[in-house]
Amino acid sequence: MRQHLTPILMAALLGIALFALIIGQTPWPLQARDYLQSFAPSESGATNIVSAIYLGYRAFDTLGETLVLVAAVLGTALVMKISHTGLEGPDGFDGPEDPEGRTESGPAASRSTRPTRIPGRTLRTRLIPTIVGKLAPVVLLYGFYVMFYGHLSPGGGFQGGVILASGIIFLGIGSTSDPAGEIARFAALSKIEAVAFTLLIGACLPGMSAGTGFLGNPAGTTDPEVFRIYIVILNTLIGIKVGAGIGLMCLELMGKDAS
Amino acid sequence: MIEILLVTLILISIFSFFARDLLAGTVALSIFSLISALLFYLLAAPDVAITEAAVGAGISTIILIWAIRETRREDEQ
Repeated sequence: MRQHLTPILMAALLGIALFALIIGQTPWPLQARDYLQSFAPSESGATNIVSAIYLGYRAFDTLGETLVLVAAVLGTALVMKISHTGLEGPDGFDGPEDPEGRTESGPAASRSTRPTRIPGRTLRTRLIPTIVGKLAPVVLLYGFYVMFYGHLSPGGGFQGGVILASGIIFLGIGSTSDPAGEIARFAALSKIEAVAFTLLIGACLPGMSAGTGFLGNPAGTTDPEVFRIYIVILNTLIGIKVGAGIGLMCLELMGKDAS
Repeated sequence: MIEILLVTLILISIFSFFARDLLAGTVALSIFSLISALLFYLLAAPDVAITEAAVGAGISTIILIWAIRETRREDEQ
């Protein structure tokens, strides 16, 4: 119990400090809010002001975020690849401490002496793949809706992409195919992610030749309708890229024993 | 309503902090994300609510459960 005391004390101190901040009477700065409320829909073409900010005014930050995601997926894929080729296990970085040999993977997993362990099916019953497999198309449809209507209603590329990734994971859980099919799906997903990211970078460039700058609207007009089309394109590309990336990452984590 | 949800969030986080069974702790964190998504929605930030529900309750729970499956379910004493 004693070792838990320090974090609780720290959390309590932080809470007291933040409480003073919350009940403080300093007025919130209203200038940016008022400006966005009156000008964002006409300047960026997005009715949803959050979309107007992250694809209109702060689109460069959004590009950086997608780059962070690429790095994360790349790191996961690399770690999984290394652990597949046998750095793990008795001679690797986490073998000997585990009495049950649960961290074994790859060829060693099939020789594992753990009882009732079916590769990749440990935490499942037949019920879950059946229901989740039927639910997957609905989730995918909702993801596409959130992605395409990001400029009008709450949502956008990132949110829609993560929901798409959930749908892809549902498909992965619901599939009863053999590991060879899983590997084919990995390859397709990584190709989709790469193509979507390349297209996203490509979509950033035309503004430079039109004189509106990197990520600027290529049409160069002040017509909100044209801005809207550009925002829909960016949202779609980001959504597909995020969905394929996170889906790939999670499927790779889940299908570790299966492949 | 908001105060009740906030107090529930504190209780759930304390439970997930002290839970010996890591799977129970992960499920508690997932419920935490779901309730905070509801809270974001009540506070008129539906964009953040969608993100919190999809990332917090969905993806991160899957990753944590995968990590538990590959290691041990019980916390060390």
